[in-house]
Amino acid sequence: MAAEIDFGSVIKRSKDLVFKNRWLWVYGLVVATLTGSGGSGFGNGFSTSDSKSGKIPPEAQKMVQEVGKAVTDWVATIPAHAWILFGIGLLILIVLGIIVQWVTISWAKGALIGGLEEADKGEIVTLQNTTHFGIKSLKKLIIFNIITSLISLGTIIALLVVYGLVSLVLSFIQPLMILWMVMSGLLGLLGLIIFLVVLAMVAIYAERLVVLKDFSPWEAWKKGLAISRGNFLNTVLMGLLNSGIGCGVGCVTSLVITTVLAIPAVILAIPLFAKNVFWPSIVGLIFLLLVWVTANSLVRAGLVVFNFSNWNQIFKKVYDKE
Amino acid sequence: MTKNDFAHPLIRFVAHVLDSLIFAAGIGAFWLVSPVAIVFWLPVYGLLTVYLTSKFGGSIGQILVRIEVVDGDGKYLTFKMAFFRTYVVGMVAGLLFGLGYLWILRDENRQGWHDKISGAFVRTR
Repeated sequence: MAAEIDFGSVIKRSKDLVFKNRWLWVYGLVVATLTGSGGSGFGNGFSTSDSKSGKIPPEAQKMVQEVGKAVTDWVATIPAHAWILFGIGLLILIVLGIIVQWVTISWAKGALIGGLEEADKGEIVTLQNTTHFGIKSLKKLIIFNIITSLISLGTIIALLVVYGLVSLVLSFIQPLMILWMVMSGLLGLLGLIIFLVVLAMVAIYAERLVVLKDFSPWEAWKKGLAISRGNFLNTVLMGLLNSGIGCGVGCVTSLVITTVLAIPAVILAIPLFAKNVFWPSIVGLIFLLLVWVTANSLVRAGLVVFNFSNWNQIFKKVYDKE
Repeated sequence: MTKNDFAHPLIRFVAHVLDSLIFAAGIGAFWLVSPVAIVFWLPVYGLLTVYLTSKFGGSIGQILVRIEVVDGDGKYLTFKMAFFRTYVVGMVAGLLFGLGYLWILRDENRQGWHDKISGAFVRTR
Protein backbone atom coordinates (compact mmCIF):
# COMPACT_ATOMS: atom_id res chain seq x y z
CA MET A 1 0.00 0.00 0.00
CA ALA A 2 1.33 3.46 -0.92
CA ALA A 3 2.40 5.75 1.91
CA GLU A 4 0.43 8.92 2.57
CA ILE A 5 2.74 11.85 2.03
CA ASP A 6 2.33 15.46 3.09
CA PHE A 7 4.26 17.13 0.30
CA GLY A 8 4.01 20.53 1.97
CA SER A 9 5.94 19.39 5.04
CA VAL A 10 8.48 17.55 2.87
CA ILE A 11 9.22 20.73 0.92
CA LYS A 12 9.35 22.88 4.05
CA ARG A 13 11.80 20.50 5.74
CA SER A 14 13.97 20.40 2.62
CA LYS A 15 14.05 24.18 2.44
CA ASP A 16 15.29 24.31 6.06
CA LEU A 17 17.94 21.66 5.40
CA VAL A 18 19.17 23.41 2.26
CA PHE A 19 19.75 26.75 3.96
CA LYS A 20 21.16 25.33 7.21
CA ASN A 21 23.72 23.01 5.59
CA ARG A 22 25.75 25.03 3.14
CA TRP A 23 28.58 22.50 2.88
CA LEU A 24 26.17 20.18 1.10
CA TRP A 25 25.99 22.75 -1.68
CA VAL A 26 29.49 21.68 -2.71
CA TYR A 27 28.12 18.23 -3.59
CA GLY A 28 25.11 19.87 -5.22
CA LEU A 29 27.45 21.96 -7.31
CA VAL A 30 29.34 18.86 -8.46
CA VAL A 31 26.15 17.00 -9.39
CA ALA A 32 24.70 20.07 -11.12
CA THR A 33 27.91 20.71 -13.07
CA LEU A 34 28.60 17.14 -14.15
CA THR A 35 25.06 15.99 -14.87
CA GLY A 36 23.60 19.27 -16.05
CA SER A 37 20.72 18.87 -13.62
CA GLY A 38 19.31 21.09 -10.93
CA GLY A 39 18.14 24.09 -12.84
CA SER A 40 15.37 24.63 -15.25
CA GLY A 41 17.24 24.19 -18.46
CA PHE A 42 18.73 27.66 -18.55
CA GLY A 43 19.83 28.20 -22.10
CA ASN A 44 22.88 30.38 -22.59
CA GLY A 45 21.14 32.17 -25.42
CA PHE A 46 24.36 33.57 -26.79
CA SER A 47 24.35 34.38 -30.46
CA THR A 48 27.52 33.64 -32.35
CA SER A 49 26.47 35.34 -35.53
CA ASP A 50 28.69 38.09 -36.84
CA SER A 51 27.15 40.83 -38.93
CA LYS A 52 30.51 41.51 -40.59
CA SER A 53 31.15 37.93 -41.64
CA GLY A 54 30.60 38.68 -45.28
CA LYS A 55 33.19 41.48 -45.36
CA ILE A 56 36.53 39.81 -44.62
CA PRO A 57 39.39 41.98 -45.96
CA PRO A 58 41.46 40.37 -48.78
CA GLU A 59 44.65 40.47 -46.61
CA ALA A 60 42.89 38.50 -43.86
CA GLN A 61 41.54 36.01 -46.40
CA LYS A 62 45.06 35.50 -47.78
CA MET A 63 46.46 35.04 -44.28
CA VAL A 64 43.77 32.48 -43.39
CA GLN A 65 44.53 30.57 -46.60
CA GLU A 66 48.26 30.56 -45.84
CA VAL A 67 47.72 29.36 -42.28
CA GLY A 68 45.36 26.66 -43.56
CA LYS A 69 47.93 25.51 -46.12
CA ALA A 70 50.70 25.45 -43.48
CA VAL A 71 48.55 23.34 -41.16
CA THR A 72 47.65 20.95 -44.02
CA ASP A 73 51.33 20.62 -45.01
CA TRP A 74 52.30 19.96 -41.38
CA VAL A 75 49.59 17.29 -40.98
CA ALA A 76 50.82 15.58 -44.17
CA THR A 77 54.36 15.28 -42.75
CA ILE A 78 53.20 13.18 -39.78
CA PRO A 79 53.39 9.45 -40.56
CA ALA A 80 50.34 7.17 -40.28
CA HIS A 81 51.69 5.22 -37.28
CA ALA A 82 51.98 8.49 -35.35
CA TRP A 83 48.31 9.19 -36.00
CA ILE A 84 47.44 5.69 -34.76
CA LEU A 85 49.42 6.35 -31.59
CA PHE A 86 47.69 9.69 -31.23
CA GLY A 87 44.33 7.94 -31.55
CA ILE A 88 45.28 5.42 -28.86
CA GLY A 89 46.51 8.19 -26.57
CA LEU A 90 43.35 10.17 -27.13
CA LEU A 91 41.27 7.08 -26.39
CA ILE A 92 43.15 6.54 -23.12
CA LEU A 93 42.50 10.17 -22.18
CA ILE A 94 38.79 9.90 -23.01
CA VAL A 95 38.43 6.64 -21.03
CA LEU A 96 40.26 8.18 -18.06
CA GLY A 97 38.04 11.24 -18.32
CA ILE A 98 34.87 9.14 -18.34
CA ILE A 99 36.10 7.09 -15.34
CA VAL A 100 36.91 10.25 -13.38
CA GLN A 101 33.49 11.69 -14.27
CA TRP A 102 31.63 8.53 -13.17
CA VAL A 103 33.62 8.32 -9.95
CA THR A 104 33.03 12.00 -9.20
CA ILE A 105 29.28 11.89 -9.84
CA SER A 106 28.81 8.66 -7.84
CA TRP A 107 30.88 9.96 -4.96
CA ALA A 108 29.05 13.30 -4.87
CA LYS A 109 25.62 11.64 -5.01
CA GLY A 110 26.52 9.21 -2.23
CA ALA A 111 27.95 11.96 -0.04
CA LEU A 112 24.94 14.21 -0.64
CA ILE A 113 22.40 11.46 0.15
CA GLY A 114 24.30 10.46 3.32
CA GLY A 115 24.94 14.06 4.32
CA LEU A 116 21.28 14.99 4.01
CA GLU A 117 20.34 11.99 6.14
CA GLU A 118 22.73 13.15 8.86
CA ALA A 119 21.45 16.72 8.58
CA ASP A 120 17.87 15.47 8.91
CA LYS A 121 18.87 13.78 12.17
CA GLY A 122 20.07 17.15 13.43
CA GLU A 123 23.81 16.45 13.06
CA ILE A 124 26.21 19.17 11.96
CA VAL A 125 27.43 18.28 8.49
CA THR A 126 30.78 19.24 6.99
CA LEU A 127 32.81 18.01 4.04
CA GLN A 128 34.96 15.87 6.37
CA ASN A 129 32.13 13.99 8.04
CA THR A 130 30.04 13.34 4.93
CA THR A 131 32.57 12.38 2.26
CA HIS A 132 32.83 8.82 3.64
CA PHE A 133 29.24 8.15 2.51
CA GLY A 134 30.35 8.82 -1.05
CA ILE A 135 33.57 6.84 -0.81
CA LYS A 136 31.87 3.86 0.87
CA SER A 137 29.14 3.53 -1.75
CA LEU A 138 31.24 4.60 -4.75
CA LYS A 139 31.83 1.13 -6.18
CA LYS A 140 28.24 0.01 -5.66
CA LEU A 141 26.81 3.13 -7.29
CA ILE A 142 29.08 2.70 -10.32
CA ILE A 143 28.02 -0.95 -10.65
CA PHE A 144 24.39 0.13 -10.28
CA ASN A 145 24.87 2.61 -13.15
CA ILE A 146 26.42 -0.11 -15.29
CA ILE A 147 23.45 -2.42 -14.54
CA THR A 148 21.02 0.36 -15.48
CA SER A 149 22.92 1.05 -18.70
CA LEU A 150 22.92 -2.65 -19.62
CA ILE A 151 19.19 -3.00 -18.89
CA SER A 152 18.47 0.09 -21.01
CA LEU A 153 20.62 -1.22 -23.83
CA GLY A 154 19.09 -4.70 -23.63
CA THR A 155 15.55 -3.32 -23.65
CA ILE A 156 16.25 -1.06 -26.63
CA ILE A 157 17.88 -3.89 -28.61
CA ALA A 158 14.98 -6.28 -27.79
CA LEU A 159 12.41 -3.70 -28.89
CA LEU A 160 14.29 -2.99 -32.11
CA VAL A 161 14.44 -6.73 -32.89
CA VAL A 162 10.67 -7.08 -32.27
CA TYR A 163 10.03 -4.00 -34.41
CA GLY A 164 12.21 -5.36 -37.19
CA LEU A 165 10.54 -8.77 -37.16
CA VAL A 166 6.98 -7.37 -37.16
CA SER A 167 7.90 -4.93 -39.93
CA LEU A 168 9.34 -7.79 -41.97
CA VAL A 169 6.17 -9.86 -41.61
CA LEU A 170 3.87 -6.91 -42.33
CA SER A 171 5.89 -5.78 -45.33
CA PHE A 172 3.88 -8.34 -47.32
CA ILE A 173 0.57 -6.71 -46.29
CA GLN A 174 0.81 -3.04 -47.30
CA PRO A 175 -2.33 -1.59 -45.59
CA LEU A 176 -1.35 -3.13 -42.26
CA MET A 177 2.23 -1.92 -42.74
CA ILE A 178 1.13 1.75 -42.83
CA LEU A 179 -1.02 1.25 -39.73
CA TRP A 180 1.89 -0.49 -38.01
CA MET A 181 4.29 2.35 -38.87
CA VAL A 182 1.94 4.95 -37.36
CA MET A 183 1.05 2.87 -34.30
CA SER A 184 4.61 1.77 -33.57
CA GLY A 185 5.83 5.36 -33.88
CA LEU A 186 3.28 6.62 -31.35
CA LEU A 187 3.62 3.64 -29.03
CA GLY A 188 7.40 3.76 -29.30
CA LEU A 189 7.52 7.40 -28.23
CA LEU A 190 5.09 6.81 -25.37
CA GLY A 191 6.95 3.67 -24.32
CA LEU A 192 10.28 5.49 -24.38
CA ILE A 193 8.94 8.25 -22.12
CA ILE A 194 7.47 5.72 -19.65
CA PHE A 195 10.68 3.68 -19.76
CA LEU A 196 12.84 6.73 -18.97
CA VAL A 197 10.50 7.79 -16.13
CA VAL A 198 10.60 4.29 -14.61
CA LEU A 199 14.41 4.18 -14.90
CA ALA A 200 14.67 7.55 -13.16
CA MET A 201 12.32 6.36 -10.39
CA VAL A 202 14.24 3.14 -9.84
CA ALA A 203 17.51 5.09 -9.71
CA ILE A 204 16.11 7.50 -7.10
CA TYR A 205 15.16 4.71 -4.69
CA ALA A 206 18.00 2.32 -5.53
CA GLU A 207 20.72 4.94 -4.93
CA ARG A 208 19.27 5.59 -1.46
CA LEU A 209 19.01 1.86 -0.75
CA VAL A 210 22.70 1.52 -1.60
CA VAL A 211 23.89 4.51 0.42
CA LEU A 212 21.55 4.44 3.42
CA LYS A 213 20.58 0.75 3.71
CA ASP A 214 23.78 -0.83 2.35
CA PHE A 215 21.99 -2.86 -0.35
CA SER A 216 23.99 -4.55 -3.10
CA PRO A 217 23.53 -2.91 -6.55
CA TRP A 218 21.35 -5.68 -8.00
CA GLU A 219 19.22 -6.02 -4.85
CA ALA A 220 18.83 -2.25 -4.84
CA TRP A 221 17.68 -2.35 -8.45
CA LYS A 222 15.01 -4.95 -7.73
CA LYS A 223 13.85 -3.28 -4.54
CA GLY A 224 13.91 0.14 -6.23
CA LEU A 225 11.64 -1.19 -8.97
CA ALA A 226 9.27 -2.69 -6.39
CA ILE A 227 9.09 0.58 -4.42
CA SER A 228 8.53 2.56 -7.64
CA ARG A 229 5.64 0.29 -8.60
CA GLY A 230 4.06 0.48 -5.16
CA ASN A 231 4.40 4.27 -4.95
CA PHE A 232 4.08 5.31 -8.56
CA LEU A 233 1.72 8.23 -8.00
CA ASN A 234 3.62 9.69 -5.04
CA THR A 235 6.87 9.45 -6.96
CA VAL A 236 5.42 11.09 -10.06
CA LEU A 237 3.89 13.87 -7.93
CA MET A 238 7.20 14.53 -6.18
CA GLY A 239 8.99 14.53 -9.52
CA LEU A 240 6.52 17.03 -10.94
CA LEU A 241 6.85 19.23 -7.83
CA ASN A 242 10.64 19.12 -8.07
CA SER A 243 10.51 20.03 -11.76
CA GLY A 244 8.03 22.81 -11.15
CA ILE A 245 9.94 24.33 -8.25
CA GLY A 246 13.24 23.92 -10.10
CA CYS A 247 11.86 25.57 -13.20
CA GLY A 248 10.17 28.37 -11.28
CA VAL A 249 13.03 29.19 -8.92
CA GLY A 250 15.65 28.64 -11.62
CA CYS A 251 13.93 30.83 -14.19
CA VAL A 252 13.06 33.61 -11.74
CA THR A 253 16.52 33.81 -10.15
CA SER A 254 18.23 33.59 -13.53
CA LEU A 255 16.03 36.41 -14.80
CA VAL A 256 16.68 38.54 -11.69
CA ILE A 257 20.45 37.96 -11.84
CA THR A 258 20.56 38.71 -15.55
CA THR A 259 18.46 41.88 -15.13
CA VAL A 260 20.57 43.14 -12.20
CA LEU A 261 23.81 42.51 -14.08
CA ALA A 262 22.52 43.81 -17.41
CA ILE A 263 22.47 47.44 -16.23
CA PRO A 264 26.21 47.67 -15.32
CA ALA A 265 26.98 45.52 -18.38
CA VAL A 266 25.33 48.05 -20.71
CA ILE A 267 27.13 50.93 -18.96
CA LEU A 268 30.44 49.09 -19.35
CA ALA A 269 29.76 48.26 -22.98
CA ILE A 270 29.04 51.86 -24.08
CA PRO A 271 32.75 52.85 -24.49
CA LEU A 272 33.28 49.79 -26.70
CA PHE A 273 30.96 51.26 -29.30
CA ALA A 274 33.00 54.47 -29.41
CA LYS A 275 36.47 52.85 -29.31
CA ASN A 276 37.61 49.56 -30.78
CA VAL A 277 39.34 48.29 -27.65
CA PHE A 278 38.77 49.67 -24.17
CA TRP A 279 40.35 47.36 -21.63
CA PRO A 280 38.55 48.54 -18.46
CA SER A 281 35.24 47.75 -20.18
CA ILE A 282 36.43 44.35 -21.34
CA VAL A 283 37.76 43.44 -17.86
CA GLY A 284 34.53 44.69 -16.27
CA LEU A 285 32.37 42.68 -18.66
CA ILE A 286 34.42 39.52 -18.03
CA PHE A 287 34.02 40.10 -14.28
CA LEU A 288 30.24 40.47 -14.68
CA LEU A 289 30.13 37.28 -16.73
CA LEU A 290 31.99 35.44 -13.95
CA VAL A 291 29.53 36.82 -11.38
CA TRP A 292 26.64 35.66 -13.57
CA VAL A 293 28.07 32.16 -13.96
CA THR A 294 28.83 31.91 -10.22
CA ALA A 295 25.38 33.08 -9.15
CA ASN A 296 23.63 30.71 -11.55
CA SER A 297 25.85 27.82 -10.45
CA LEU A 298 24.99 28.47 -6.82
CA VAL A 299 21.27 28.50 -7.57
CA ARG A 300 21.58 25.19 -9.43
CA ALA A 301 23.63 23.70 -6.58
CA GLY A 302 20.98 24.73 -4.06
CA LEU A 303 18.24 23.24 -6.23
CA VAL A 304 20.09 19.92 -6.49
CA VAL A 305 20.40 19.74 -2.69
CA PHE A 306 16.72 20.63 -2.38
CA ASN A 307 15.69 17.90 -4.86
CA PHE A 308 17.88 15.30 -3.16
CA SER A 309 16.47 16.26 0.22
CA ASN A 310 12.90 15.87 -1.05
CA TRP A 311 13.71 12.42 -2.46
CA ASN A 312 15.46 11.40 0.77
CA GLN A 313 12.34 12.21 2.76
CA ILE A 314 10.01 10.48 0.30
CA PHE A 315 12.31 7.46 0.37
CA LYS A 316 12.22 7.30 4.17
CA LYS A 317 8.44 7.48 4.25
CA VAL A 318 7.87 4.81 1.60
CA TYR A 319 10.64 2.54 2.91
CA ASP A 320 9.27 2.69 6.46
CA LYS A 321 5.80 1.87 5.12
CA GLU A 322 7.17 -1.16 3.24
CA MET B 1 49.72 19.20 14.33
CA THR B 2 49.74 22.93 15.02
CA LYS B 3 49.10 25.70 12.52
CA ASN B 4 52.86 26.27 12.15
CA ASP B 5 53.29 22.69 10.95
CA PHE B 6 50.94 23.21 8.04
CA ALA B 7 52.48 24.44 4.81
CA HIS B 8 52.07 28.15 4.14
CA PRO B 9 49.69 28.87 1.24
CA LEU B 10 52.46 30.78 -0.55
CA ILE B 11 54.76 27.74 -0.40
CA ARG B 12 51.96 25.57 -1.76
CA PHE B 13 51.49 28.08 -4.56
CA VAL B 14 55.22 27.97 -5.37
CA ALA B 15 55.05 24.15 -5.49
CA HIS B 16 52.10 24.45 -7.85
CA VAL B 17 54.02 26.84 -10.11
CA LEU B 18 56.99 24.44 -10.16
CA ASP B 19 54.70 21.55 -11.09
CA SER B 20 53.17 23.63 -13.86
CA LEU B 21 56.67 24.42 -15.21
CA ILE B 22 57.59 20.73 -15.13
CA PHE B 23 54.36 19.89 -16.90
CA ALA B 24 55.08 22.53 -19.54
CA ALA B 25 58.67 21.27 -19.93
CA GLY B 26 57.27 17.75 -20.47
CA ILE B 27 55.02 19.06 -23.21
CA GLY B 28 58.05 20.71 -24.81
CA ALA B 29 60.11 17.51 -24.58
CA PHE B 30 57.31 15.38 -26.04
CA TRP B 31 56.81 17.96 -28.78
CA LEU B 32 60.45 17.51 -29.79
CA VAL B 33 59.96 13.74 -30.02
CA SER B 34 56.67 14.05 -31.91
CA PRO B 35 53.85 16.59 -31.53
CA VAL B 36 51.25 13.84 -31.45
CA ALA B 37 53.03 12.20 -28.50
CA ILE B 38 51.84 15.04 -26.23
CA VAL B 39 48.59 13.18 -25.72
CA PHE B 40 50.57 10.51 -23.81
CA TRP B 41 52.25 13.04 -21.55
CA LEU B 42 48.95 13.97 -19.90
CA PRO B 43 48.12 10.53 -18.39
CA VAL B 44 51.82 9.80 -17.73
CA TYR B 45 52.25 13.04 -15.79
CA GLY B 46 48.91 12.60 -14.07
CA LEU B 47 49.66 9.11 -12.82
CA LEU B 48 53.27 10.02 -11.96
CA THR B 49 52.03 12.80 -9.69
CA VAL B 50 49.64 10.41 -7.94
CA TYR B 51 52.39 7.80 -7.55
CA LEU B 52 54.84 10.32 -6.11
CA THR B 53 52.21 11.61 -3.68
CA SER B 54 51.52 8.10 -2.38
CA LYS B 55 55.18 7.03 -2.28
CA PHE B 56 57.05 10.22 -1.34
CA GLY B 57 54.29 12.46 0.01
CA GLY B 58 54.01 14.92 -2.84
CA SER B 59 54.46 15.95 -6.45
CA ILE B 60 57.91 17.00 -7.70
CA GLY B 61 57.12 20.64 -6.91
CA GLN B 62 56.02 19.75 -3.37
CA ILE B 63 59.12 17.64 -2.78
CA LEU B 64 61.34 20.48 -4.02
CA VAL B 65 59.84 23.05 -1.63
CA ARG B 66 59.91 20.47 1.19
CA ILE B 67 56.22 20.05 1.91
CA GLU B 68 54.28 16.78 2.12
CA VAL B 69 50.71 15.54 1.92
CA VAL B 70 49.68 13.28 4.80
CA ASP B 71 46.48 11.88 6.29
CA GLY B 72 45.22 12.45 9.84
CA ASP B 73 47.69 9.88 11.22
CA GLY B 74 50.66 11.53 9.53
CA LYS B 75 50.99 8.77 6.90
CA TYR B 76 51.25 9.27 3.16
CA LEU B 77 47.99 8.83 1.26
CA THR B 78 47.33 5.53 -0.51
CA PHE B 79 47.50 5.54 -4.32
CA LYS B 80 43.68 5.38 -4.51
CA MET B 81 43.24 8.25 -2.09
CA ALA B 82 45.95 10.32 -3.79
CA PHE B 83 44.18 9.79 -7.13
CA PHE B 84 40.85 10.68 -5.53
CA ARG B 85 42.32 13.84 -3.95
CA THR B 86 44.14 15.00 -7.06
CA TYR B 87 41.62 14.36 -9.79
CA VAL B 88 38.17 13.77 -8.32
CA VAL B 89 37.98 16.27 -5.50
CA GLY B 90 40.72 18.39 -7.07
CA MET B 91 38.20 19.11 -9.77
CA VAL B 92 35.57 19.89 -7.13
CA ALA B 93 37.90 22.42 -5.49
CA GLY B 94 38.39 24.02 -8.89
CA LEU B 95 34.68 24.75 -9.27
CA LEU B 96 33.46 28.32 -8.82
CA PHE B 97 36.79 29.62 -10.13
CA GLY B 98 38.95 27.76 -7.66
CA LEU B 99 37.05 28.68 -4.50
CA GLY B 100 37.99 25.31 -2.98
CA TYR B 101 41.70 26.10 -3.41
CA LEU B 102 41.32 29.69 -2.17
CA TRP B 103 39.77 28.18 0.97
CA ILE B 104 43.35 27.34 2.06
CA LEU B 105 43.84 31.06 2.79
CA ARG B 106 41.11 31.20 5.42
CA ASP B 107 41.09 27.70 6.87
CA GLU B 108 42.63 27.21 10.31
CA ASN B 109 44.26 23.94 9.21
CA ARG B 110 45.18 25.46 5.85
CA GLN B 111 43.09 22.86 4.07
CA GLY B 112 41.40 23.34 0.73
CA TRP B 113 38.14 21.56 -0.06
CA HIS B 114 40.10 18.74 -1.71
CA ASP B 115 42.16 18.32 1.49
CA LYS B 116 39.08 18.33 3.73
CA ILE B 117 37.20 15.81 1.60
CA SER B 118 40.13 13.41 1.37
CA GLY B 119 41.15 13.94 5.02
CA ALA B 120 44.58 15.23 3.96
CA PHE B 121 46.88 17.82 5.46
CA VAL B 122 49.80 19.53 3.78
CA ARG B 123 52.69 20.12 6.19
CA THR B 124 56.34 21.12 6.07
CA ARG B 125 58.82 18.23 5.99
